[in-house]
Amino acid sequence: MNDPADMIDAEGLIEAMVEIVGPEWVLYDPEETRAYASDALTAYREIPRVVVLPNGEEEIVAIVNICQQRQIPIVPRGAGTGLSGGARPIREGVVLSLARMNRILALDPEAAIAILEPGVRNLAISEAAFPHGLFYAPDPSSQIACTIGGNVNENAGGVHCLKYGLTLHNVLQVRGILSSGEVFECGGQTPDSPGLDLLPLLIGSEGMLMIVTEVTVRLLPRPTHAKVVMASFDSIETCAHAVAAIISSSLIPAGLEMMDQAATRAVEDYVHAGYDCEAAAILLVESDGSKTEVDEEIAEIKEILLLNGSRSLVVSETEEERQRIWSGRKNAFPAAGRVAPEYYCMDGTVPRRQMAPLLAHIAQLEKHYRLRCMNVFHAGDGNMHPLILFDGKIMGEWARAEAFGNAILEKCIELGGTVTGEHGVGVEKLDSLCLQFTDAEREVFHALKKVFDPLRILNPDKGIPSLRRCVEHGRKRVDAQKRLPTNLEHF
Amino acid sequence: MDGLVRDFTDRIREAEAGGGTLGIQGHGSRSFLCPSTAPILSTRHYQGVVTYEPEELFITVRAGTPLPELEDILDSKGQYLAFEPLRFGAGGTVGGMVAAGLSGPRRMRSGPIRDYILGIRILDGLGRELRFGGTVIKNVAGYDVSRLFGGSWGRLGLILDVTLKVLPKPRSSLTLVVDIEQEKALNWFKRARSQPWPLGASLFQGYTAGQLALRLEAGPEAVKEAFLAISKELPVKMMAPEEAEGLWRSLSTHRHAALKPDKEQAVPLWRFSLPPGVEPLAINGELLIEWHGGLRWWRGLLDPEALEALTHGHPGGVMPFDAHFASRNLSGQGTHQDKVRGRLDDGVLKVFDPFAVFSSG
Repeated sequence: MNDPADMIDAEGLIEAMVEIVGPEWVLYDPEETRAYASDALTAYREIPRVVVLPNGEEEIVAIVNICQQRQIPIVPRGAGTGLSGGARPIREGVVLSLARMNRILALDPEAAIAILEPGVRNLAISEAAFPHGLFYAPDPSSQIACTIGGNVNENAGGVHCLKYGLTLHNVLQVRGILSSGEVFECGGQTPDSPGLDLLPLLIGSEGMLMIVTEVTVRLLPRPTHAKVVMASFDSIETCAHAVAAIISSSLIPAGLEMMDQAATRAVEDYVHAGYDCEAAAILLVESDGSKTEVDEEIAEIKEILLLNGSRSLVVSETEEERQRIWSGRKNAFPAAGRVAPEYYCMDGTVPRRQMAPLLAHIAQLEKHYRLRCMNVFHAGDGNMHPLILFDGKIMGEWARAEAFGNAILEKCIELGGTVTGEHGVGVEKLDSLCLQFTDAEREVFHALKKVFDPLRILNPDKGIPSLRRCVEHGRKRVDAQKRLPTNLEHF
Repeated sequence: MDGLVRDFTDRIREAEAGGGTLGIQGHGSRSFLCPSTAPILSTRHYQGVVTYEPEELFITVRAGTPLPELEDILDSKGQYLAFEPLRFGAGGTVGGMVAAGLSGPRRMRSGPIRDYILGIRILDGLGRELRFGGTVIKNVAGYDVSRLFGGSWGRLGLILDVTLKVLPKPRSSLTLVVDIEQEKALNWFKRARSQPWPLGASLFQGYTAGQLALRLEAGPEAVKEAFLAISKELPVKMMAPEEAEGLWRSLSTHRHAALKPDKEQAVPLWRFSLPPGVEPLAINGELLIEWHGGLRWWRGLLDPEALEALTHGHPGGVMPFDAHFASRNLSGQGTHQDKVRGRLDDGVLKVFDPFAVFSSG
């Protein structure tokens, strides 16, 4: 029997990979590589030439060196839970899965830090920190599965980032392999590190600058108490107004989430969280800390909500009840999957005061595109996740869903926001980025990529659209000033 | 203001075309850390608030705005800059504060200045006006360029305006003091890191023994609760509010007696940025320890070997707080990865300033 490797491995790439990681950690049979064809945004698919699962930095260096010599693109991959196609393979390239590198290398409760391999799951960090009274704060909704390496590359957020910050605010150091095969460490356990502060550039860089091999995170004292208030509103506007009222008080709630009626109804059918399905919108407001702190804040939150038009509210009295109320919000995406064959999740962010106008606009778009949309958002930071429901089997529905999504993102930019708050650009929002930045600004992005990855082998064609693409798609922000001729190369 | 931006652009393009350099300066309050011989490009007249939306928790402000003015504006709405910036003299400008990236006493609780940068508008070394980031807290479109400017000491370009995340001021603050040995104080922090106490700032002053001050900041009940819990571990006393304010202010304004320059300026003031858990340093004389152990100030003479031995393999952030501070900081002297780091830093600098117009800082 012919080994498929012989047929497709003209350059000996697979053989070279097998030599580095061993035969069981190299996948090339399309039956096996198909599982890696997309991340959680399954509309964008590609079967990769080969998937490699290294275990350790040395193996990664060897893989990178081979790819560098042969100019083969590498797409790094964690758990594949990304929502923007950032881990979609490149047909002629290598998918580098970091799933095997899942060890917690150190957890120091006295320094309140953990040193992790990139494949450690987000939730596993807090689980390991639990006995020490500590936790890792960023909690994206995929936290059971998503990995810290992926979190770093997407600057993942979650429901608690209003109070505790994003991945950026909770990572102290990142170590990785550049496309030159060199090791680079950025940040550190010292509060200041010399040189330019490149850490913010690496965090959220979607695998385009380096392959993350180690992450040092800071751990925070775990709050001993938490309570959530669920408040119902008769209109989206009143609900958005209540959000503004909470933020303008001196409170920073641990979580502040909003769901519209389409979302609460879908969720209630699915998990029976006890949501008020007659309300036009509901708000979940969480307080955490010590018992007195929580009681103090919850009393204040209740008062603000009632003063600002909440028609009824429920406060969780037990931890079980709190979990039940949150289970609805946390299951919003699967609930969408139950009411329609497929859903397309957007991630635009607008200033909080623009949430109601954006929702009104989305309601109009629903009619225009003849598709339903349910809305859940991280209201505390204006990050919206409209879920556009569609059926990919019906001719033209996916195209309509995509156009619907783009229209939402254009509106987000118009309202002073951004096309992606936490899911990343990936392949999905490349065209939207043409609108958000000028040619000169995108030139800077490309030039920065070139500094880290001069051969352009790390996740190329993701994250930042080429100048040509923006011209071809006719979607361009007008320059504030006429562009100057520069010596920067375009690619 | 547009006229000023045109002037800035013209001067940058002139310098670029003629192979000249420019040194960006606001009030010059930080120039003792980065003296420059280049012609000065002054931002001091480019001032004022562009947008302030307290309920959106951000303010966009021009680089030349005096820092105290910005703080007064925020204060009128019960908000503040949570990172408690380190300032000198009259306080300097907002642009200088961002470019220096120096945090004050609240650093360990709040994170560094760059964590609060949401967006930035700059003129790069080619005179191009560029905007990165925005006004919203969550934003992952494109690389996070705006935060690169924190601590860049003016080398990447001229900051025109910056959008900062602002927060409500803590509703109450209480400072506790206790006489304690240095070693015991540093060990106490190791335990305190896993306790849910609202520890906003700390200061140990002394040598092997001295005084530890702890600032609690939160709602009144939470502060009281933490006070009671800490009292069970350490015989702390409450410090009078005015005295406490003076103490923390002496740190954020760099006017504490132990930080003042000696008359001849012969003995350098060392700034040790270390992992907070590092043991007491084997050096003689008075120390100020901030950031729960992460920042230590000491005046004295040290040779390179003594320094290496002292800093437990973390020499990178340890340097005299003097005229070479900015350049040493940027060059990353003493780190273990000089080659790769140096190449990347140079590359990034060239992206923004290919003709080294701002190279002298």
